[in-house]
Amino acid sequence: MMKWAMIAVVCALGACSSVDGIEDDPYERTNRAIHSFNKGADTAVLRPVSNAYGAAVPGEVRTSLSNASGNLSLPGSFVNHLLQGDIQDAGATLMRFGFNSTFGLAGLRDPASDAGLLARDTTFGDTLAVWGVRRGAYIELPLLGPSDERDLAGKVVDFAINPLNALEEPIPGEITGTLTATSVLNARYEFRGLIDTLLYESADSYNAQRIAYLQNQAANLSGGVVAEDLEDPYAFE
Amino acid sequence: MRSNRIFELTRRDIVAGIGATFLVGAAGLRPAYAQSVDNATSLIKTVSAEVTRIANSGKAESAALRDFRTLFNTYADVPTIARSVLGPPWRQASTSQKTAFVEAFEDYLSAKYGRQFNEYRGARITVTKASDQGNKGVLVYSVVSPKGASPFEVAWQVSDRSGSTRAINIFIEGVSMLSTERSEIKAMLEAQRGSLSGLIDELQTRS
Repeated sequence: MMKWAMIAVVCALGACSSVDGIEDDPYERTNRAIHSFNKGADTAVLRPVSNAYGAAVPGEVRTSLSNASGNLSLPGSFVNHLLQGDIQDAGATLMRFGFNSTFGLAGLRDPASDAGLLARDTTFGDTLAVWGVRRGAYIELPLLGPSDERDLAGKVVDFAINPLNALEEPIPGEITGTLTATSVLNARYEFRGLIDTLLYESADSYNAQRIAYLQNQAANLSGGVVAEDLEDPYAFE
Repeated sequence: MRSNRIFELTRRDIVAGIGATFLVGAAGLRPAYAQSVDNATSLIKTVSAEVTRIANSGKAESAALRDFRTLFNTYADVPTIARSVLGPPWRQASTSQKTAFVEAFEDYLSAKYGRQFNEYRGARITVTKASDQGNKGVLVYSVVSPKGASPFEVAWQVSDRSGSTRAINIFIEGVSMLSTERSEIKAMLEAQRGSLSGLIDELQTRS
């Protein structure tokens, strides 16, 4: 019942528009404008700041801060695993949160992974996919980057259903904000080879990023490359 | 009683016989299927070992890129990849343009992917599984574990339709090289106002 109510809300937000395959990009004009803004922001701020952060802060510290940020996302993942009917992953996520929040010093360390309890991140966007909601059109969001209608609707709901927001004494915004920022900087630094190639060496960086986002997300949802992802290059003469 | 038993034995023999026929039949079919999966798997194991060897060789980048080009030329069906990525303009091209394009594309692609692979010094590549995809070949899955960074999945599409077993696509974390390069080549061709010789020059400056 709640599931259908949520799907109705999400469809009202626009996530159910019909899009065929990877070629279809109804918001291309707007997306491209946002892409050039985002690329400018990366050139001017994110890239230099993340490179400075990577050079100044030792890897262990960067990893610890990213761990703590990732730990705070677990309660949300737990709720979404439950909504997806995945009791096993929900249980593993809850155990991971309990383990790392205590023995892992508020998530700075990651003893759970050492014990084989790996992160199984998921979002309400994934929950919607499991429920059969279609991806909708591709959207590039200002500063946040690649997304789609289903994922965008999911972000809104994720904020609302995050158990951490319901705490009597919520974690101060300065702390969560700082952790999120350091984790973004760390990711931009660690994947700088791939991201720099994609953004600055592509003939069409907008489309290269769009294809990368859409195909990577599809592979994540179906657990890897599957038969439908394959094409037959011998068919073209 | 005895004859009954003989009958039972006989019936069991017949059942066993039919079973055996099926098994023999299956065994007769199996090699063709198993062979293409085995060939594809061993191809990707060889490629993985070669990629690791080149990345770890400590050679200067230009020398490493030459090695990647040889690797690509040996183990991938480059003309088929190039043709499929260029798409319709291929049909209008002259024979000499086609040859020049395939060559320039090979340089460009081996340099682009070679540079990325070359960054994975000390990485381990493990082939995890393979599955038969009929007409579309065989999908071979591998996991790349770089030193000090999270592992990621690389899937290889392998086909023997050219007459020998060759890689025809690679998916890095699900992202298809054929899709990505089709978009790139299209953008470069548009920037050259549709001129194929302009595109060939552009590919050469990028490799």
